[in-house]
Amino acid sequence: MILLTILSILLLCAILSALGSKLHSQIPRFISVLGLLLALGLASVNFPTAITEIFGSTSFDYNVPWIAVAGANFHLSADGLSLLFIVFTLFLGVIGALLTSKISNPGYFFFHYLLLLSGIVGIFMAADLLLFFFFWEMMLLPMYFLMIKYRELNDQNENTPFKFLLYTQVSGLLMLLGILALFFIHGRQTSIYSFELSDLMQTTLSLPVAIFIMTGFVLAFLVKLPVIPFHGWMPATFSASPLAVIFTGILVKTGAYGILRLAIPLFPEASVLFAPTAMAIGIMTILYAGLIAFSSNDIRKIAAYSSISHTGFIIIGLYAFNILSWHGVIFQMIASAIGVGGLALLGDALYRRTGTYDITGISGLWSRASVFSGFGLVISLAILGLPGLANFIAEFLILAGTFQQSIVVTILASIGIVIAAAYALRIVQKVYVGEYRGPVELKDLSLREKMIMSTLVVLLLVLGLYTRPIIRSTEKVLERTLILDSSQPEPLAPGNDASVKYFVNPQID
Amino acid sequence: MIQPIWLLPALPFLGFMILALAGKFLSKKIIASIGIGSVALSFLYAIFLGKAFLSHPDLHLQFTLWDWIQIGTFNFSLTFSIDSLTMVFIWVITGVGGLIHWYSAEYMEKEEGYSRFFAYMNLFVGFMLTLVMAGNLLVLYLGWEGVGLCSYLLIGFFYRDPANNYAARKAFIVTRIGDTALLIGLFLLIREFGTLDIATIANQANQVLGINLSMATIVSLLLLGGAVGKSAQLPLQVWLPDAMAGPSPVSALIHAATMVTAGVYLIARTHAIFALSPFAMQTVAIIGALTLLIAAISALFQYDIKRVLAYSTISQIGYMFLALGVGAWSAAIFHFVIHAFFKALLFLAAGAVIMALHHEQNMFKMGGLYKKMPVVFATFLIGSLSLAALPFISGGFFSKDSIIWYAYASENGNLLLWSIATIGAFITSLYTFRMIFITFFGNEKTHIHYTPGKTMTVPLIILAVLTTAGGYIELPHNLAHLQLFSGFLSSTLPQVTLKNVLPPEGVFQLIVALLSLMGIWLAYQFYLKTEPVYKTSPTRQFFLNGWNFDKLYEKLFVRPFVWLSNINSSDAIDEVFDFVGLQIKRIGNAIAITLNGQIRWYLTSMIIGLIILILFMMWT
Repeated sequence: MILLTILSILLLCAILSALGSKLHSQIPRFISVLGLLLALGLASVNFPTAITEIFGSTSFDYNVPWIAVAGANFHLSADGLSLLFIVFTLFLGVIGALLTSKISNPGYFFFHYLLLLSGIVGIFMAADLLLFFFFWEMMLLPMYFLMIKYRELNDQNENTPFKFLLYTQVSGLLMLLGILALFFIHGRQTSIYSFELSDLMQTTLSLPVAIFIMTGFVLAFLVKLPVIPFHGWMPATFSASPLAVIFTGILVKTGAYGILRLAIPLFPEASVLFAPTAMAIGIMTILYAGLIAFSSNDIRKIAAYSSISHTGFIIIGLYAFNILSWHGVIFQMIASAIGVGGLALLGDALYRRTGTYDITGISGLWSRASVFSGFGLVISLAILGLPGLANFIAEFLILAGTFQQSIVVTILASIGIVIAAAYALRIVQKVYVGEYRGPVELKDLSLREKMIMSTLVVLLLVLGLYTRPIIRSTEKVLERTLILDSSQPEPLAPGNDASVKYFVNPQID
Repeated sequence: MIQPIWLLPALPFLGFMILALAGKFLSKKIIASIGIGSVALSFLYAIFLGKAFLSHPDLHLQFTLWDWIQIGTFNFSLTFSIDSLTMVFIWVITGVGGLIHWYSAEYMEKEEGYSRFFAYMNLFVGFMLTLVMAGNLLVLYLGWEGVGLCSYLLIGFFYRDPANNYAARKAFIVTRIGDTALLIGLFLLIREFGTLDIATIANQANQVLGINLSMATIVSLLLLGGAVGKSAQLPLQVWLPDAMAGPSPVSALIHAATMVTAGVYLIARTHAIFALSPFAMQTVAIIGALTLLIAAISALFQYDIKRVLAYSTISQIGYMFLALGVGAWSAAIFHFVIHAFFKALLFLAAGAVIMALHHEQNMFKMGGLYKKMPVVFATFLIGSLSLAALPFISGGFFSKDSIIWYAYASENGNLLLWSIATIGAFITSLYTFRMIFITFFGNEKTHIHYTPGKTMTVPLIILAVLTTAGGYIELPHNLAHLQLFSGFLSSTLPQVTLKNVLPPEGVFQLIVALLSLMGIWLAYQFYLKTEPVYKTSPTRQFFLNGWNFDKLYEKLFVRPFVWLSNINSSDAIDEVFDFVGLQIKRIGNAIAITLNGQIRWYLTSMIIGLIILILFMMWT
């Protein structure tokens, strides 16, 4: 019931926001923050219990027939992995709501905002594939409507929301086809027609069929992450609206979650075969996006490509099938969202003060706005992966785990670390230091901005030095998934990488 | 009793926190007291700990704060540990560091950003202590990157001039290339040992890597990659001369006494791995020898006093690498200590000169200063005598002499390494006294407008005493039986293995001593008897620019990178998709006549889905 309650709170608040806006313009925001905090509280309280549970059969499960004729259930479930991301989503949700104080048409905004969040939260809860798809679609539409309404007036590219929808819908369609194919194959094999994840995991698939169906799923997730070459929607989205950034930070997590929750457990052998391709995509993503981030002058574009480059690490880490790199992936999802989110927030703050996103159009901010610049520096350091901040833990674990599988991939990915230093310090170089060049009057960060940035920085610092909470919340899930996936019988022991060692660069070892 | 040794780095970190958060509201006096006080407290605690170490050099203190990363049986904990090697580094970092902080209170007084300066300096000391106290290599890496960050921040401290920031960024990125090699080395160690715990790795090195010596070589070379980056050795030495853009105390603390020797520490700390691979040892020795020679020659052609000292630092660290490479571990560390004293002294004294001459760094515009600034001159001279390794009256003689001797006498040494080290010693005394004569003698060219106060001169005097006295704790074997320093380190670092048959050490010492005296005499001929004039020619320009490594790297790496990055700044893949998207949109617009508005794609996809669903159901 607890999961249903969380969802219901969000949906209820969505409706109340829409209605309440007629009474007073501040009511929608108030209701949203309140609802999000309530949901956040509920999710956090149940965190400790969820850690030990097995997804699909937990004590929180809420399971009722949904489309009975098709065997689809409204089945919500949550283990440590789910709850970690639900908590994180709601947390970013609160920050996003706090940021949007002076938005026009608040009823419209918060209605879609909460709908979007409930869609994302739903994805992390769905234990039924049709329900998963339902939530998947549910999060895309509000995002689209938000983008149409709140894109900037000076944004020349009117195609941006369309581009977003096109990318995500086409790939979503592929996933739906995959789900249906799995549904019928499983039905024919067992004569139980069900969309239940735990049922479908029992399906016996011949390798070619598995590869074929998996491709549908993986494409949807890769587009959402996004990786090169399916990334085009993301820089466009970042440019369309400053608010989009915070949504995107949450939105893209669903892609990695999908791979970890669905693609790998449903198609273990096919995933192993896909791994070399995934590694190649990951390397390309890290380097390609890193290079563009270095050459961009628009701070939003840098944030977008930096985020894409971080995604490359996620995809490498996922397909390294190693416990270290999987924990690294979890850290990367959180740390990158905070780091890039922070950068985008600062970019937005910069725009509101100077009227430009161009980092070559302003310089020497330090002499006028030292707090702003101080945060800017820390965020840049986070993005380049300085030890002590959460982003380093992510990159270290991913690369340490990947190294056990493929040395070449690790070395190529490590080049990305050097490139990250180059583009992150370039921002510092252009914006914060040098002789002051900018508007005559320049205000430092407001109290609210300071508080939000401090929250993000403290979080990066705490998670960078004390990793136990995150590791503990997902270690059971990850170990189970890894064993499930491992085609070798021996248990997972460090040093003796029991997972799938043979498939990438066997000649190296 | 378990000593709370985590306090050592925690105190400077606390100083940093206070200054970073509240620095704006504090007076300069309080800022300086916090900045100096936090390091001084650490130093006092280090002295207190040191008492126990002096009577029991094999003592080993350890303190684990918490598990940093713990996954399955992988455990990377935040562990601090102190043995005699670490103790030596802690004394130097907090002691010399404290003196430099003290000096800075006056040096930085007129500059903008007083609290920012002390905050960064405190942060640096905290990270540097973390680095040398790390109980496992991941914590070492934390300190390693942390000091790199502080170096970056402090090189670019005068942030208004973009040139300083370019120098800072160059330093960070060049060292990061080395750091990445180090990181990959750590991954390899994780794979081979399943841990990064330094003590475990040292104990099991023989057992794990002994059977696979090529693996030992690869690990060593990767660690060496990190070391050459941080310690500005070939081929990553290019960042250090530009790092002189930072204030002089920064150059003294970070780019002479402590951070740049982190590479020496790393190799000494992991000597168990290096010792397994003769090839890696040889590489370390050769890198050291080449660097010391190349940098010394460059130092001879500089006109900026700080750049002379920068090249001299690169060259002196080259000597330390040479010592490490021939297995003379404690000789390398001894030279680190003496070098920290005299090079910090030289930088601080040079800083006093620069300040007195209104930020003039060109030696050829100085001259005749020995009468005007007697204390600074005297201390600078004492530091220079050590750098030039003048026999018996300087600490540098004892530390450098033993390295030069071992370059031949160690079983890994040979005549070539010895010759390079000896020629280096000759050039060193030549460039040192060129600097002395041009700066302090001859005609006065610029009037001094500031006389350094006690806050600046007292640290200089203390360092001058340390420089000279420090040498006497470790005397050459053929002169006396007084080897306190290597005795102190003997529980941590193995003794150097010598060749079986050796010529008398005295002959070698005599040659080196004569050459260094000849260097001084030559400098006297060139730069004191005749008025020195700065001349340029293509050859001089080549050495002035540090053998044009910068130009080479610019062509080889920087330009291709920028080119590659710019060529695709508009993201070609995205453009292809946009083009396809545009075509689809045209088709979409046609369909849109029959569908209502913007949710058409959603509807289309749902409808197609439903059709398939129904078809499948009918089929089964």
